[in-house]
Amino acid sequence: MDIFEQADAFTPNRAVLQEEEEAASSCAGSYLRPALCVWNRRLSKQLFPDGMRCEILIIATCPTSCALMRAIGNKQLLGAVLGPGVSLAGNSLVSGAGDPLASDKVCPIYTLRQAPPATAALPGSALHVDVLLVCCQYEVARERAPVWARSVLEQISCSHAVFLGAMAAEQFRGQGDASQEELIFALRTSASQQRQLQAGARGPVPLLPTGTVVGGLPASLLSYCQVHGASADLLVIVEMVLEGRPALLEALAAALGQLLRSRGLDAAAAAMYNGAVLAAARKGLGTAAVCDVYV
Amino acid sequence: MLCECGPEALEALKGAIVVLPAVTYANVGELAVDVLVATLKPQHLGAVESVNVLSVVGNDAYDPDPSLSPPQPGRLTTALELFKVPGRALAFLQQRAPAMLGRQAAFAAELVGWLVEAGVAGLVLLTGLDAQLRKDQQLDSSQLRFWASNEELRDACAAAQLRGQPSPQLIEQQPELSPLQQSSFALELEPEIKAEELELHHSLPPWPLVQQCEARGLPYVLLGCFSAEGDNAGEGMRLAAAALQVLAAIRAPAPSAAAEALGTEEGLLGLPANAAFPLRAPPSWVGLYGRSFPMEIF
Repeated sequence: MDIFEQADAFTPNRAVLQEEEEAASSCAGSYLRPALCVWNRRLSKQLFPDGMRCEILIIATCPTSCALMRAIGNKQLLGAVLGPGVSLAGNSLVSGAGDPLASDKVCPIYTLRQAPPATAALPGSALHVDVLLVCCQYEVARERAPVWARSVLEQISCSHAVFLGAMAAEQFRGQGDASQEELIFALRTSASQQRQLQAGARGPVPLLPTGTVVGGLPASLLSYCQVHGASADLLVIVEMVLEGRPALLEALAAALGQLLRSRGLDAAAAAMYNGAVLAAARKGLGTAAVCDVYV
Repeated sequence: MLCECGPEALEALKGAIVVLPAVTYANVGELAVDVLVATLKPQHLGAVESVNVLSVVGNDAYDPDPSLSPPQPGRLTTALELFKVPGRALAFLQQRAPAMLGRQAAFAAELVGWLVEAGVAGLVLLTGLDAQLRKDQQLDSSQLRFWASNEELRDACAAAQLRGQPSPQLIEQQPELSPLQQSSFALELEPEIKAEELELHHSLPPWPLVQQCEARGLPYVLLGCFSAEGDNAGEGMRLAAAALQVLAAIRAPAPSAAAEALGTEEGLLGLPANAAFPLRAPPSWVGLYGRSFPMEIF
């Protein structure tokens, strides 16, 4: 985006013309086309014989969080989310068990579970970490975000969801300065807040201050969970640059680890936040496909 | 439309008047509903979701829930939220994000259809009107306008108009008041201007909602304020004050026992005529125009 396009993106106004609305109405129905989840049938039947159910679902929606997710080791590719309007042209051809490249416009779904629950529960088995990771490497237009969120969340059942998103520093209305510090904030659904109150715990990540709003895919995901009474948290980072910064990456990983530990998921926290993951994630920053806008 | 609240909460909408904004120019409707919710402190019924509305989330748009002790911060706000005044046939539907480009008509049909199915008695639409499109006759008069779908609501608005007029004593005491300041009550929208708007801007809010209400026979009052984009907090307050006067004048579908015993007609708010109601701005307005900065830098 040039600086004029950026100004339009960051200072929206409601002055829509009649002609614009009329011109858009003929093709606006395409916003309601659902996303399609495709699964590795053999693996999903083996690891999830009772359907797509997990303890924690993590969805990464920005380049920084996707870099973190890609760096997590011992994950298995389980499926992908195909978004309407997202072309697969230019994507790499993945062979064997290789992961897609950071620049590919894909949305892979990974699992950290190495064995079916019955096997994993046996003494001496591999560490049972019941986590599904969705790494959205393409940009979901804000008009398509509600239906995309519905398409994915209707297919996966989880006890708790964590969404990782970003907002531009120009849209942040709080007192912190994103150019001087790493700003990460949390939003929670009512169900998540209730669980926290019952546990008597205080959230480890500061809440997004009043007066600031988040839009786009992260907002659609959290809104869906709120309306359906599901427990979910959104961690949103305030970014100065689109490609992400190592310091913000580490802060996000630390916040995610703290959040998972506060929910009693120490194993998942250890898998997400360790030296090897951070080193690999730092290398992956800046290699992602360019995201034009966040909302 | 999906709604977080259960069937018992939806039951509360039956026979109620719902106040909602038409999300358009200068966001005046949403600002006015913000003021009304912060002032009247209705009960939060739940979040509503529509695939035709852009998503937005934030924390603590209003004061913390008073039923929790101690009050807990971090109450999630979504694009569409429903509130109900306990004991009154009055509800608020706040909308914080617009319908998607090209989906205004679809959203209006979805929303009005859902409200009709829930059994609401009528709507009060709060909206901004483009100040650049004012005719000469509108420049020097009150900047508030109303339009009602039936005689009963029109009479209520006219009664509210009389309450909103400054008294002759006030004008005498403060002759320096400008005509605009003196005219803080709503005038009826000129029929020819309404017809022109429906012809030229029928796809833009509030007109899709108005058309849907008329098509489904749902009574409505449209309350608008001419405004230009900028710091519209003042217009929001003014529109909220006008809405309170109209709500106080609209007859309650089921008056309270006290009003029945006295044989008086009771407004939706159950307040006596000309009752003063101090308006409050919600805490979320603190960030309306960006972050504050330390004055020491100058």
